[in-house]
Amino acid sequence: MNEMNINYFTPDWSHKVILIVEDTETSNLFFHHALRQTQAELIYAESGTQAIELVLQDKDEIIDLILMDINLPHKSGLDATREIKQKRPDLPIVIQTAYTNDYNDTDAYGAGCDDFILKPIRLTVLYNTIAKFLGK
Amino acid sequence: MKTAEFITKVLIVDDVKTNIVKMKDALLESEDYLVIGANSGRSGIAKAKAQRFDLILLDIIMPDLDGFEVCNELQSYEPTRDVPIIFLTSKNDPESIIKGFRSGAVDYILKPFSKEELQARVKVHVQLKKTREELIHAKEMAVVAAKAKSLFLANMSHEIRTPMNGIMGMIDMFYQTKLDEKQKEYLKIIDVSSENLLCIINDILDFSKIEAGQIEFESINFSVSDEVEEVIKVLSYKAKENELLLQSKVQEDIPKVLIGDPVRIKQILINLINNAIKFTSEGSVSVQVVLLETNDFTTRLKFSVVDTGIGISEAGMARLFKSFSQTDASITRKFGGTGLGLAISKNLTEMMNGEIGVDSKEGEGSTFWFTAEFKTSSEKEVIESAKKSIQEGSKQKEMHILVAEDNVINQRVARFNLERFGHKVEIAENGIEAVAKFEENNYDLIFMDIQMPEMDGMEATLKIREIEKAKRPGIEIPIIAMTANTMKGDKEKFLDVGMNDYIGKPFKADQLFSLLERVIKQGKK
Repeated sequence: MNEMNINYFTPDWSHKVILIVEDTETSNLFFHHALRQTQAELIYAESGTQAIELVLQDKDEIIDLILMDINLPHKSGLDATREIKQKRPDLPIVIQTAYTNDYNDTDAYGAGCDDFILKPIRLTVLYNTIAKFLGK
Repeated sequence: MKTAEFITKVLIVDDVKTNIVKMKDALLESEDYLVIGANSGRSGIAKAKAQRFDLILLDIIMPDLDGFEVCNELQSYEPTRDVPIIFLTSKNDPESIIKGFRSGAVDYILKPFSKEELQARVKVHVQLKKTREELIHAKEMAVVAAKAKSLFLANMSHEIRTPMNGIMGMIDMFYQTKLDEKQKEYLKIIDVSSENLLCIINDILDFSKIEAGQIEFESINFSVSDEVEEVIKVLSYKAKENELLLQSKVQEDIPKVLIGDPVRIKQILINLINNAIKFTSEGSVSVQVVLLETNDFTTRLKFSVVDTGIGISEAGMARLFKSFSQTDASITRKFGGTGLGLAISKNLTEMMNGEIGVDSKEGEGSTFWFTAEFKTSSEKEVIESAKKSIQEGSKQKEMHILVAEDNVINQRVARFNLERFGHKVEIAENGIEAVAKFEENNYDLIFMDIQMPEMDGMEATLKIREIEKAKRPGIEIPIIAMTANTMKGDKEKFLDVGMNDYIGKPFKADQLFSLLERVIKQGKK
């Protein structure tokens, strides 16, 4: 049996705020359950425009990281990433997508994201990727 | 009765009315054409532009516009450019005949004409035109279909992966709840099944992409030993699970940096090693990479995956690399898989000018191998030495360089760097100015921005190449494109208009330095 998947290390992100930008309910539920147990505070947006609005309202810069889907209504995650990076270049954005076009990650990094993960996302990958920015 | 759309329409342009009548009679005798006459060059042009013809018979000697002028006019007008023109004339001197073909005519018939010859030639050219149109149409349809397929695949992949995200994510969450041994075992089965499903989806998508010719290969610097090491790392836990030894050996004198697509190499290796692990119950799986040949341009390598597994029969080997084939249907039941893995690997190796094969004996293990060709990289060494030269402040052989660039900051950056390397620099603000300066001065090299006001870099390059052709054929000044937006295929576009190389903005000083070294070296040859 492969033990790797069974004993997880759960990071401690209490006092950290993560913005989840995702419009698919099942994916949202996974992020919700996976990240809630890290003690992080979670906020949600379901479109690119909503994500930008939330960042603009965040005058005190309490958001520590954004988990951004690409395929979103109104404004794509790539466009949203570009706009947010103009306002807050230091805010880490992790793009997560189910698109597998060979050069998607190039597009994502071109838009200014800090990391890129492909769906389906395994829990360890999710934790390890975010830990690069928020610590363990 | 043919409808107007399908009827073949012929235009006859001749200033002598009886000639028109004679030709018309000759043509109608053989085929069901719609023939229209025009008794001057001007009227011919007007009629040709007003409706679609399949062929034009054109006299040369006419008052006002002669046949050559009519031909030029029709050739320079997009909607009439592809209408075949046959000159029908009494001008039988070789110069006129050559001039006729040069001006774009498809055929040249002498007056007095033979009726049968006219009928036959017209028929052939009408047929050729129709065939050409059908080919163009078929090609357009194929391009549209390929685009639709590729879009479909991208969407399909997205649609499947989205629910898979929910499934696999929640499996991981499930592991963290209190589970008894039975539940853990069941969950593990779901987990493995979902991983397998994902592999199958990836295989099918890859295979469809190959079939549609949609697989793209990158050309980047990579190190073979690093890539092999990474593959071994990824698969070592799987080998350990099966109590197998997984090891690798990369021949030492393989060039450290090669240019190719490391992702594809890894994909093939992972596929072969996964198979080897699947079919080996005890012993080891080892990966070997040897150098077949290397020179300044290309390097050929052979990768082998050697296992101590069940081996394959002669008959089995023959079927191995075909799509949807495993040596035995029972294998699918026992070991799983789509049977696409080896077919994909075969296609990928062929795209890298390589071969794939297997040596095996039933019961004695198998060796799966493939060869692949890469570009030999010297870029790393070049950049290293360029860095050193810049640090030491060394100068290059002086060149007189024109920089066509509209952005003031970029002008300054280019000037600063080029002067630092010992060159004389002049600036042009746009394409028009670049062409004018090129005509007035004697430069050794031109840097050309692509997007500029007035006239862009592509157009300016075309103009410069034209001027060179007229003034000093055979001698071309090196033109280097400078651009910030490099998309796939852009480089080809730059080369197509006659540029020699390109450098992406923003560029580093060492990149610029090594590019200039290359230009100087080529100039010496």
